Amino acid sequence: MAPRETLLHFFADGCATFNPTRWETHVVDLLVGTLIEALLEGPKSVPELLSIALDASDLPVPQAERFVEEALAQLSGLDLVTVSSNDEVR
Amino acid sequence: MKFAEWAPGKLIKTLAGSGIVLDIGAASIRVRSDSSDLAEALRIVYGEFPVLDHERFCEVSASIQRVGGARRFFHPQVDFEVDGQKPFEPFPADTHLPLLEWGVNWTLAERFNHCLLLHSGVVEKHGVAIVLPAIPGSGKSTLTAALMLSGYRLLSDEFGVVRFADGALLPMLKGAALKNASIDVIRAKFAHARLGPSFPNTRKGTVAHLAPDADSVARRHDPALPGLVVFPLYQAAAETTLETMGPSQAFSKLVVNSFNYETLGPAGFSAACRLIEACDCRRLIYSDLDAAIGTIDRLTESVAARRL
Repeated sequence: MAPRETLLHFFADGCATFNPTRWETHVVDLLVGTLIEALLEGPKSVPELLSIALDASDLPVPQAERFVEEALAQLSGLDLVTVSSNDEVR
Repeated sequence: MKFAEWAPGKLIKTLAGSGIVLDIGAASIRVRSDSSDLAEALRIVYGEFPVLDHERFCEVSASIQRVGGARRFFHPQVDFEVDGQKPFEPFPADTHLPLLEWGVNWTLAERFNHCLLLHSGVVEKHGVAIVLPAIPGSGKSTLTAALMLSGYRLLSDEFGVVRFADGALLPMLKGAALKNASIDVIRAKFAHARLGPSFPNTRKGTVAHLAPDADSVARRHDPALPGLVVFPLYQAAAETTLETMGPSQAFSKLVVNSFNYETLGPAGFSAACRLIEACDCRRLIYSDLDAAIGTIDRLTESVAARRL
């Protein structure tokens, strides 16, 4: 899950994150930062995250779906989120 | 009174006894040594620094002492000692000042965790601090030295010291370590440059230290607000090229050039983000010092004008 203490900073061209669990810094796409920010407020379902991505971007639905899927895979690899078997993302 | 005004014999005697205190702005350093050659080198490089009470608190107490034993007759060496520890093997005795400088820098980088410490030169003009982060060999010290000799205030040629409370940059004012060809470049271009002795055959080649000027020393307790981050890169025969960097890209590059970002964690993250947000960020490729200085002059004036 997104560690509650994860730090986010939105720059004009990207978002810096600090993961206190792994003591790691990453720079991610602004839209990915928006997803992390939403997850810091509480668990979300994949459709909820898709809705957030659509609201925050001009992406058409198929691309937004692919974007969210790829972003979650990437963030899982960084231990920034956990996707449970019922598609709840924390 | 300044060290430059002391008689050489007095400096040698004090250095060998209670030691001298160098207040470099963000920290104070006590130096002791039985090397008269080091005393003379310090008199040149730190000549503008005031003589201070030797009993005052110092963040670092360092000494350079000649190594005893038979070896001293055919291969004299000196030891660097800090607060009773000897972190390095002895160095050749004729590299006393580089050893002192490296040792003190190493100690500060290890200990100075109440600020974000960047590996960068820092200068200031018109109230705008310019941070010049770079990996070794990028021409950072040469450019920083040239800027000081062209009217900028030097805060440091090695440490960007970012205060957590307000993001201001604190001076950590030491001799600027010039290496190899840059020594002659600076000497030839700036007749008023005050350079200490050259030390050939150090681990980094020939090293000479540029003395901070009187204005930089006088203002070594004045913080400066950051306005520019410029990543310099010297490339022989290259055209002067200035590229705008996006803030997230600059952030990534900045934290790589930090001594203690990894140690600081969240505090370092916040300080680095704040610094980048406060600055215009550029990459500067240069070979011609005049052109590089002119470019930084224009950038600095533009940031200063925006602040009015």
